[in-house]
Amino acid sequence: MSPRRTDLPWISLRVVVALIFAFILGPIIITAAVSFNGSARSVFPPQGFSLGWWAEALSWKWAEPMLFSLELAALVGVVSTITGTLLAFALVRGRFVGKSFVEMLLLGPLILPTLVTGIALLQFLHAVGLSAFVGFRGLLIGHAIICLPFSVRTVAIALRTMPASLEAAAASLGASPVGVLRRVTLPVIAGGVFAGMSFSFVHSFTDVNLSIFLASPGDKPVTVAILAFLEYGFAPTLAAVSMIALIIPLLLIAVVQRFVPIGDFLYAQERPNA
Amino acid sequence: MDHALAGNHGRLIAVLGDSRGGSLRTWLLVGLPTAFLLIFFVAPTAYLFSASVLLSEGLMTPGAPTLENYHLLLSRSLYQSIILRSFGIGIGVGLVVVLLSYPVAYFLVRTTSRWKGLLIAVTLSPLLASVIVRTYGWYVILNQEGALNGLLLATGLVEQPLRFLPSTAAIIVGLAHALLPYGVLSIMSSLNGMNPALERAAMSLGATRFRTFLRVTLPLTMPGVTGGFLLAFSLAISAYATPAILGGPATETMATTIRNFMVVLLDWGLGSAMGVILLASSLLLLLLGTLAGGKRAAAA
Amino acid sequence: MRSDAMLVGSHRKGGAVSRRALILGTAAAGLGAPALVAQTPETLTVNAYGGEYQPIFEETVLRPFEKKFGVRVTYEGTGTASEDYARIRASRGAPGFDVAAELTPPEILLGAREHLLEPLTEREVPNLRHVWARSKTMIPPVGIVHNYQYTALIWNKEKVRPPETWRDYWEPGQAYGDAIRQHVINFNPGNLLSIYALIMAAKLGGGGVDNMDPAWALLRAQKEYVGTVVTTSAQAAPYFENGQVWLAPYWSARAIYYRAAGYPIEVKVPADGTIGLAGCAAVPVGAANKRLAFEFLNFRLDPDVQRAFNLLYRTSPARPDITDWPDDYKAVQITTEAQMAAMDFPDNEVLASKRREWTMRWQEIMAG
Repeated sequence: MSPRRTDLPWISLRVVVALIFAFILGPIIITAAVSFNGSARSVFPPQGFSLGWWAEALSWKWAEPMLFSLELAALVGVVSTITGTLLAFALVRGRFVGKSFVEMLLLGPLILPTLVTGIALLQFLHAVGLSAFVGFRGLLIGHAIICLPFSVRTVAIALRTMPASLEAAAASLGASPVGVLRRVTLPVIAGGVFAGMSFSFVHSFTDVNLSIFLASPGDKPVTVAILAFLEYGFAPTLAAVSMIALIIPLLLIAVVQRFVPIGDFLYAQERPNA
Repeated sequence: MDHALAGNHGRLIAVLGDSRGGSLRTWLLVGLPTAFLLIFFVAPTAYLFSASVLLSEGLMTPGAPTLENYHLLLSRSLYQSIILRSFGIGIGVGLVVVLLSYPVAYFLVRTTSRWKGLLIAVTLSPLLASVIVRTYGWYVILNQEGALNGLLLATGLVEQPLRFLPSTAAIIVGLAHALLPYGVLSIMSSLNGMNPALERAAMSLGATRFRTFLRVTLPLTMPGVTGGFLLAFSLAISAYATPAILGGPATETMATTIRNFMVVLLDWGLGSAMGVILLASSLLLLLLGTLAGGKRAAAA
Repeated sequence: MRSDAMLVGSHRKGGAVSRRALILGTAAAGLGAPALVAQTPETLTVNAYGGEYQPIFEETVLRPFEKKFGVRVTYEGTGTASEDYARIRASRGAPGFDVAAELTPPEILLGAREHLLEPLTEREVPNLRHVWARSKTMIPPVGIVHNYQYTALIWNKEKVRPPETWRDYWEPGQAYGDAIRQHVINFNPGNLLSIYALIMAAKLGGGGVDNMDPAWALLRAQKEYVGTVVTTSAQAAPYFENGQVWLAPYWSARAIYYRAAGYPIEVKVPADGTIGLAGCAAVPVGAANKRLAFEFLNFRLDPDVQRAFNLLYRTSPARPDITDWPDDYKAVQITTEAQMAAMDFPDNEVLASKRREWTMRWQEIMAG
């Protein structure tokens, strides 16, 4: 017997969630409004209407760093997810000396302001003769470092919450270890893996403080481009660029979801029991 | 729970990670990523922080190592309050994030609405909210002539517009907004792993929804909740942009202070000393928190 | 913690991208790049400001330079002066750009002390023989001064009457009464504006860089009138525009620029004088193309370039021998020896040594 969706607790939940969604969308809607502002002044409510800022935001001047950021973030997402999943398996399933050391190590990039990590990495690369890495490779390394804790964390949570008897059941039914991995473990923790990849992608795409130090003239993420402009002034173009920087990754995540449908991740209640 | 290491099952454990101390596979799984972290994170950070024991004259190495930078930061009340405030913000943000993200996560997991994908996208949107959104978005809402004051005045809840900016509360709101998605996804991740049949079973045995939640759902999803809290706390501690924009001189945090030292005053001695303090104290706090949580879990 | 669970259907991880292929591809791209560069014209990388500054700089300096020397300039618009220097320091003088085109005296000082900026004499930059006499003593010889500004007082012309002296800014209650509460701005000492304004405050009380106590007293008293505190000059601009800030110290160039852009502000030099800002440029010791960098600095000091840039950007010239300025320009800029003599420039060495302590004092007063 499944709980009725018209009962009071569920309805109050929906109200609460609706309020929280309003909270989430508030600043974003305002930014969107500013991006259509008729004048160059940054007032709200917007005066007049203009698509000119969007036109400029789509020009090559902004499209180039945007594409660079997307490319970098995608690569970082893949690297971070693969590495993080491996590490998560070892941390959750394995028993070895120094486990808590590794766990603490993973907290470092989260707690330390990315600014510090950026300066440290830049200084280090120059000190060890890898100064040619500054730019794409340096950014890849730096972003992978700050994104790794995310993928480890989410996969670990998924692994921990997954009951071990699942795998035991599959194994006892005759599946090979690799088969169990492929058909039971990975699908079950897919939510965690996907969450980790999303986090990594987004964290890389939106990072600015580390990127300032590891970017080079040809390799500049869009966040650094925005900051460069912002340090000098403001124009509604920035609002338009921010909206694009928000919409494109969301669309990408939505597209990926076509291949890995959300429904399968989220234990839809319609699924039959084993 | 330990399984009997026999037959297929034993081979299974061998694939996934040996429970005997340190098999080669486990070491490989751990070793490569750890080496990566050690080389490109620990070594550079340690090198930078070595400047903390030198009085900053830039790159010139003046006298002997000294703890004067630490002494200054730990004894001056200005910096003591900065340190305490940073932790206050971190904990505040963690709590707000968990409180707000649980309902959303629960809803998203249990809902059968066909807009689920879109709603998840909406939930992720603050992650992509750039510094622009935080500058103008929150400023427009929270400033004295802004939307929130407009609402409060219109509904008659207040007679004079309130001053929300700059304040620690505004920072917490701004950071909670930005970090909410982490909480939601974290809790969703562990709600996924929970069998909804358990809830149904509890309710069919007569428990109310609320009691079911408290006694069944919440305990089972604790890893997601604590994971979300820890993530939000850690990121709030290290956040620079939001406290800089929504805060003011009376609401400096460790992160804004570090940036001020490193990149404005160009005093890397003090900057790295503050960095060491931030790292050490946060790790200590997290360690204590995990220990306390672990004790409770063991007792349960 | 365990429960029985359902088996779920299998799925495919989206996008079977080969990580190895991506990394190899990236490595190949990185290795391939140098070969391309060898075939293209000589390049120079210049770092300066972005935003409104960029098109002015490109039009009046960069493009003419490219044309005259037949080279290509890559422009990097990120970073404040101190951020740029942080990169110079972190990279031991090889930050990736050949010219740091917008620095301030504190960075030049650090560059001299840390040996991270190239020495610049009339041999490297011949036009140095034409600059103001003052430019040569203002900073150590590892940078050039390519323009000047000063700390102006700006006010909202629709809300308040013009201020006369620095006292009107530091004691706004006396000058304007309660109406100005919350409409005064104060800058974080990370910005030289703040430092210069504080020095003027000290002078009001009979002090100066050697005795800042009067400044702290004035700051404490001014606090209740201050409604906005920002760090960078850019952050202040919206507050001038929307009329929230009525009185402020501000850099002359940007103030005049915003006035021309339609902000409701007016600009003046206070009657009791003010402090000037030297806009500097330098070459990091690890620059890839030093020869061209020196040419660039020299080009920037050419009379035509000086004229074109300073007219558009509203700054004062680096050399006194340009005479055909328009009248409205001359009215608000430093173009004569007399004006230059009347401008105060603090000792940068003293500033450097005291800045940290002043920053902490400011923070303690504003936080408490």
